[in-house]
Amino acid sequence: MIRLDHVTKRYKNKVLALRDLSLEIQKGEFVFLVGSSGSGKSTFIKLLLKDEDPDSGEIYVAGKALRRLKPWRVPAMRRELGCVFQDFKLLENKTAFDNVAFALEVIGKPRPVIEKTVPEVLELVGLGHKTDARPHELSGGEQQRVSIARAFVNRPRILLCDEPTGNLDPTTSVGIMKLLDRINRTGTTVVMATHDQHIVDSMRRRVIELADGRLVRDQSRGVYGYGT
Amino acid sequence: MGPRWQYTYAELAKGLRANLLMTLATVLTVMVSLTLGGIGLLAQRQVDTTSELFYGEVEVSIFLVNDVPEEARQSLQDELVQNPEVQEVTFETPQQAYENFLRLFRDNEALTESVTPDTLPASFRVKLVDPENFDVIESQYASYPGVETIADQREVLDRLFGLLNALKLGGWAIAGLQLVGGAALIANTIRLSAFARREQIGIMKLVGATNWYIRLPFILEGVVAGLIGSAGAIVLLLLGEFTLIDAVRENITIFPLVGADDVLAIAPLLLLVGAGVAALASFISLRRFLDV
Repeated sequence: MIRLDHVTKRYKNKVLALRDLSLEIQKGEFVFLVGSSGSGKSTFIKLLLKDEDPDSGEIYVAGKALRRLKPWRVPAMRRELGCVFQDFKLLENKTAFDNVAFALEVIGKPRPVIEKTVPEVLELVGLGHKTDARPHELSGGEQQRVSIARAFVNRPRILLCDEPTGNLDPTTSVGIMKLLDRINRTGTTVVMATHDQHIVDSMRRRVIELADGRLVRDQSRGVYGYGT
Repeated sequence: MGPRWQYTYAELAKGLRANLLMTLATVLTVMVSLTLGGIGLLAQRQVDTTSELFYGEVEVSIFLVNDVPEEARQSLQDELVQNPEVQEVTFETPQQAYENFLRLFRDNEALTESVTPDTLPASFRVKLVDPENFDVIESQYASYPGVETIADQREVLDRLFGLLNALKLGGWAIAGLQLVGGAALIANTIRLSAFARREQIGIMKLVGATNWYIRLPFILEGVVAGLIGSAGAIVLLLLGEFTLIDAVRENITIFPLVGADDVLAIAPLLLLVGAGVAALASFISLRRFLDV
């Protein structure tokens, strides 16, 4: 589902974000991406979204070689990916329903489909009763659920999560992780960058650790770190 | 109307409302620019219609002194006929000159009443092979017996055309500068508009909205401003036509002046330029912002 072949990424300020990174993630896997700040986790996610291009190496996402992807094909590729961020990225002036519906509207889905799918997915994330609430009327955990609903509403094959629990307290985080686990069980590949040791240790899923842009550990059913 | 257009219209209205002041500045700049450009185009049309009407008929006139002896007149005519520079010669008697005068100035009674056949000189109307060679004819026949003066009738029109051409070029030059200013204003407005909605644009890119879908409301925002400005310019030109030109028209009866139909004839071009420049400015302004 995701494959990196000898990927190197250097930013314009000469910072080497990823060095010769090769790895493969299978369909349906749940993968934690760990490492200290600046280890290359965010760059990794940006490369998968083709928000950035690598300087060398090739990246395959959902069967497509990103480097050779024509610019006008990028939007179609991104529809295969769902994204969840630490800061939720919800539109403040829209209700929960409208925030999720927005993702479908802008890719041209017809209104009847939107009216049917959005309540379903809000129900799935446990917000069936708060569809008309705006972001400021929701707790952090609820906002993140809206954001997950938006990422998942188009049924992407891959869900990319960049520190999804970074702004949430431990109890709320557990709820979010249960939700991501449920989504993973529907066959969706989940890649989650995180600093949350407790979550990684309790989930016991595959762990990929980056340090200084290099792959230093790839362990199935791993924990956050050895000595920590 | 599907959800696709619903979004585009909603965003378009939002953008125009949010940037009302900038949009107004844009509209006014485009309007002034295209008004000047339109004046240039109208001057061009005036030159075209006038020269079409007159250049074919314009000749060199060799005016004769009163009571020129018939032999002198005849020998001058023979020489003119044999001159390789001359294409055609006709003799105009004072009576014919008077009739032509009456015909040309039929709308101006004050003028026609003050003239009688004997106040007009007899003349040769000479059509040259090359109208530019007036000097050759003048130097050859100016001192000929019986010749009073030689007049190049193109001179009069050339002065008018010189004025119109200056008007045209001046109009276009200022219009061009204004249009660059207008394009810069549009680019800036659109950038502000896009910046105000950068979160939304970011999300749209993430969920896989196509670039054109993201761009369209912004480009339309620019195009609407450009079109309103163009329409304003057309209205201004029509107003100018109905006030200024119509006032002058009463005094100039020899040739037709540009009219409202000429303004309407250039209207599509003005709209096209206004919309086109706006679309281009918006597109370029967004390209960097959307980073694709």
